[in-house]
Amino acid sequence: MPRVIVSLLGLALASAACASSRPPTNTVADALASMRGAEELGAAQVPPAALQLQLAQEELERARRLMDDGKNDRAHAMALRAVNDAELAIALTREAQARQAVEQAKQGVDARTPEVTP
Amino acid sequence: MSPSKPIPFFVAAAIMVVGCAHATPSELVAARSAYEQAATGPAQEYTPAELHVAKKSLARAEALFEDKGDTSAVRDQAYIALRKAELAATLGRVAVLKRQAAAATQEGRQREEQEAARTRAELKATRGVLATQQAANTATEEELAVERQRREEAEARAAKVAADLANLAAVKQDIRGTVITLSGSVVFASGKHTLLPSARSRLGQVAEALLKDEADATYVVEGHTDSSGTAAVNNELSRKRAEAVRDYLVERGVPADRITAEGHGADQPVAENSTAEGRANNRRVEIVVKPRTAR
Repeated sequence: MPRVIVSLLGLALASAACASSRPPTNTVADALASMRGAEELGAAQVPPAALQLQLAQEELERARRLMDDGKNDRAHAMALRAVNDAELAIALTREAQARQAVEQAKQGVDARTPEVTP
Repeated sequence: MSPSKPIPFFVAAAIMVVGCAHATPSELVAARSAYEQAATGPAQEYTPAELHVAKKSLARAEALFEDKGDTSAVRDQAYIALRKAELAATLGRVAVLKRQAAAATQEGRQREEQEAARTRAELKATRGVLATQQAANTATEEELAVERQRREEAEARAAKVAADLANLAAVKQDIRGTVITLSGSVVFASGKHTLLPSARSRLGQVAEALLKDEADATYVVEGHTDSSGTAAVNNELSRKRAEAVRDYLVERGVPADRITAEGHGADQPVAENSTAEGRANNRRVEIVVKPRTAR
């Protein structure tokens, strides 16, 4: 009997968790903020970052549809995916910009390197 | 077909169980690989915090998978772990690039400074050479100017001396040097060898003119007579007259060691002794100025 009670209790707790999960509005907001940040940095001009940003946008769309269907847990997971994709988009944009800065600095060095006079 | 039904069902169930137990979701495979890559890259040195987050995320995915097998929750967690690993790796690369950019900028600045220093040094050297050349040119010009002035002064002095002498007596150039001829009748009374008072002032001027000549010349005073009278008398007279002139010039300041007297008698006439005028010209005292270089 106690076994059955324990399992019942577990089931109840699990369903309670499921039922009580709220719409992941905070995570969606985080995703939106990160996506906007990536856009402002110029992720659209950096192909790998643009891809990541697009993934985030699609995931956010799916998260919203899941929220509409009341599937908040799945929506939360999908919004989290969007957050991480957007953050990676930001990092990839920064990487491209840093690489460009290195190139420019090296060109500057080359330009200032005195020609070897024979 | 009904007897064969249980077998496919069993097989399918077995396959399902095996699949559940062993098939790893592709997200988890990718996450493991991405973490491995990140952990061996620059992230371990430059972005250890992000790498640690990725590690924990992957561990959670592994634990979920261990616990529940291939579920959407595992896939979600594995997907996030994959992105965390990629994020850590990317940020590690960014850190490396930023260091490279800083180093390149620093190097560029150093090159710029070196170049500037080199240019400054070259400019300084060029200026130094120019200054040296200019100084040399100026020195040469100054020397030339001094030399020119010295020569002009010497020429002016020589001209002055010649002009002064010309006023006092006949001056001519011959092989002996500059010859100043004093007429005997002007300087001496007939047959005498004492200077006339009027001759003293003229000889004084001659002495002044000679002294002005700084050429450090030597002088020979030569006495000459006409052919009247005996040679002995004429020689004696001409010598005494030359000595009288010499003594007077020495008295007026001409250095004694640079002036000598000679009597030539009637041996060196400059005119005919047959006429009174010719004899008058032959009676004379000549002061021969020998330039120093001719000594």
